[in-house]
Amino acid sequence: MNHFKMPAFLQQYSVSSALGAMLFVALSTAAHAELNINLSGGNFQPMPIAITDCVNEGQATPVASVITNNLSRSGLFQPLPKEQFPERISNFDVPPQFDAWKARGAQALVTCRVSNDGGRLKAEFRLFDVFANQQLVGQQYSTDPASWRRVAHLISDAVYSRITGEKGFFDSRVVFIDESGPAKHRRKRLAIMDQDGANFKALSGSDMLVVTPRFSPNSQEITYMGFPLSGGDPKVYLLDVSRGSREVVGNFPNMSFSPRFSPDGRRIIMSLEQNGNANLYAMDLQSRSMTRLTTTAAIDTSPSYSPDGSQIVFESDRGGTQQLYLMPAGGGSAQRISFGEGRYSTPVWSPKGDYIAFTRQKGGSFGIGIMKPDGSGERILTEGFHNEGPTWAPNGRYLMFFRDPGGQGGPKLFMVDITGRVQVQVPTPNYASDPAWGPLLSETR
Amino acid sequence: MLKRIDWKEPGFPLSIALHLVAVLWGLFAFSSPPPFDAANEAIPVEVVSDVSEMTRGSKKAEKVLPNTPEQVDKVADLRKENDPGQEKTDTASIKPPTKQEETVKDDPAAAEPPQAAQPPIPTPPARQEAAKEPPKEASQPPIPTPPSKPVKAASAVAAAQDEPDDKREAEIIREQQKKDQAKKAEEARKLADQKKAEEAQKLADQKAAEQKKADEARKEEARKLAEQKKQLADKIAAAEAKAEHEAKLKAEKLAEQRKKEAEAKAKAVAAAKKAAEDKKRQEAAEKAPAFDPNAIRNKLMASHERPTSSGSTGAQVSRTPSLGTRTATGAKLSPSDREALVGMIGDQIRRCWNLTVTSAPSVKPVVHIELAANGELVAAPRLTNSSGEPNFRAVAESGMRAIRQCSPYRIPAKYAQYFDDWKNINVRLDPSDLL
Repeated sequence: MNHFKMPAFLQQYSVSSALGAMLFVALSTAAHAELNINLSGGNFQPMPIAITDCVNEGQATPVASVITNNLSRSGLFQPLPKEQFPERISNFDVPPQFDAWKARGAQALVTCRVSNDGGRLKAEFRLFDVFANQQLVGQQYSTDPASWRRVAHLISDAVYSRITGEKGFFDSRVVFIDESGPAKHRRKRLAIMDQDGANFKALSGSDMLVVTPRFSPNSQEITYMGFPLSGGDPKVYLLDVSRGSREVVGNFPNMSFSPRFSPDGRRIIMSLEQNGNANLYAMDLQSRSMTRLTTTAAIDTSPSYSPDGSQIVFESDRGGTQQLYLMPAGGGSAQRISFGEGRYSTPVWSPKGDYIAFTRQKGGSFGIGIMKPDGSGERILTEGFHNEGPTWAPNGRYLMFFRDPGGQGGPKLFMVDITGRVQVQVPTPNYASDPAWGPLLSETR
Repeated sequence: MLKRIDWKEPGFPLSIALHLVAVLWGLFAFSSPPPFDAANEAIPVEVVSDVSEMTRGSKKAEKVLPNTPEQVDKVADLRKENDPGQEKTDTASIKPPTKQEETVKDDPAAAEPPQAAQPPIPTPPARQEAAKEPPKEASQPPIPTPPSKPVKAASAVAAAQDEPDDKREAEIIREQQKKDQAKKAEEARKLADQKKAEEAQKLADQKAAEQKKADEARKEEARKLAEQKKQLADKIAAAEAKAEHEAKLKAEKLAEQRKKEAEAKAKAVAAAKKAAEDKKRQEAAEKAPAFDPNAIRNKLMASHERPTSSGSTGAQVSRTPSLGTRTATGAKLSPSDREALVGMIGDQIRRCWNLTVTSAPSVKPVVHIELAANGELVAAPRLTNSSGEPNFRAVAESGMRAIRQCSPYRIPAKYAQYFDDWKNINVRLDPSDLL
């Protein structure tokens, strides 16, 4: 008996794009005698790229190695080993031998030059499409020689952005909880570093237990909850990283926790505990006035604004178990958006607005996942013994979280892309947890 | 015992009769069922490659011809060899940037793959000739002028008109004729002597040719002399006749003059009339109302004539209509071959396609490529659509990189005959299901 079999090329794409593809084939077939190929799929293999050593003109800095490391960690690029380079770029202004690079399989090529420009560091780079024999982008930067790593991150962002069409994320920093000492007497302190683990710096001493640090979306300010070891209620603090100043955000009679900035950085939304319940409050940082947003006999916590500031996603056990809810930024009726198995917590809205990241506890494991703001398209990116605390990269394409293997070990930071294919560990000097990814340095006030 | 039929109650007999009729009809109707038509063998779909070529003939034609010539009633005035599109591209080609120029280009927006420079399309020689022809046509061919009458004859005629000098003139002519005859006789003799002497000196094989030439010269000379004699005789005869019939000539001359005058007058009147008519026509044209399309329409609507055709045109007249061809001529890929080839090339591109995006654009990039018969790219891949989405360009460029990297493509030899059908390819890049 004959069965209808769908052609292979039709089986490869989803129903939403199938209509477009069929229309494409139908229209073009009617117009010309041409072959029409609907190419779906492809390889999710990193793109082979060659990053040559910078032409050094009086300023020896390993800019190229930082770029190589950044692009490699993004998971979208596969830098060629130096041993496979067909030529050494000695003159930055001479076009490379495209055919030779093609033969080595490089699809893109980055060349750079660093020089001393009157005491300042001048860095230039060019990005070439090897198979098109043409330059895609070329820029130059002038900065203080001590900021050479930032220049390397900026070049990495420019390359990433030109190839992927997305904003970069390399020129950014991460605050997290640096954990050291044995498991029973773990010392936790607030720390900051570049997204690649460089330039580590502790921001708080040993006199306070710090949790849930959060970066301002448009400045170098951090808010977090601190438990003074000397006693007293935990408070929400505001820390200016550039100036080192710290202040208590309000003085509330009970515990306040899970603070997070609004998209414009003018408000902080947080939970306040009262009689065993927790409700959401928004505080204006200028007037210090508080606005109550929820009134329930449940625990509402981990609020996060949408990028346009019009909505808030939060977790609540008002329905019996921890689930995710959506409500208007000014308060009002909340709508549940998580309906999968297990408990959902720590929702964070993507800076692009297209996804909400969360932690899902199911059975004996914790997973990091994403879903669309309406609750559809749920996708678990990683799952294991203990994964928690997702935070978005500035471009909304990567998430950082911490993973605790249990036992005598401690938590470590990891990075995963929204497809779940790229997953790399973020280097930290000690154990690390509760990461909060800051905005691009070039976009902060 | 059978009951007698009671016609007062006809139901029973009627029922029997009807049942009998039904049974008989059934016997006849089902005894010879109509045979099934012999099932024709199904035509494989792949064989029907291009019906349009088979149905290109004229429906009114009576026979099928191997090729389907277009019916042509008359030769076209101007046969244009190249299409307007080609003429449009026949502009000064831009010099393609060198590799070095390309690499130092900083504008990413201008990072389109360089298009191969179009070679200048040579102007067809026919058109050049046609361009040269008008001057030739414009220059009027030389108008053949009537052979002018010999001056002497004219002077003789003029002299004949003067009565006192006629006789003297005739005597002079006679003397001159005698002298000329004597001279020419002497010259002929001399020439003959010279030629004889020359003939003796020349080789034997040249003798015949020389003799022939001499004969021809002699003949020519003799013919000329005969003509001169004839002319002179005619002139003399004419002079004598004119002298004798003076009155008659004068009368004729007068009549001729009058006739010429009358003709000149008539011509002048005709010219004047023509000028007046032209002027009238011009004035009428000037006074004519402005162009009115409705008037034309009204005239056309009022006409009851059937529409006529002036006939199709072509390079040469062909009055034989054809019903079409029995077979199609174009080599076309069958649907199954087409699908196989699409899968084959798609797989090759897919293997080179490294995705560097984490989201798919809503508008899918479509890249046009043209392949050579050996599977190599003829020109750089060309993006045929556009979108403002940032990841659109990333997907398009990653696809074009893959297309370049995979070239040349492996095309099985059996597809070579269908080259025209697969040399142009549109690739739609859709990474949706990976993201």
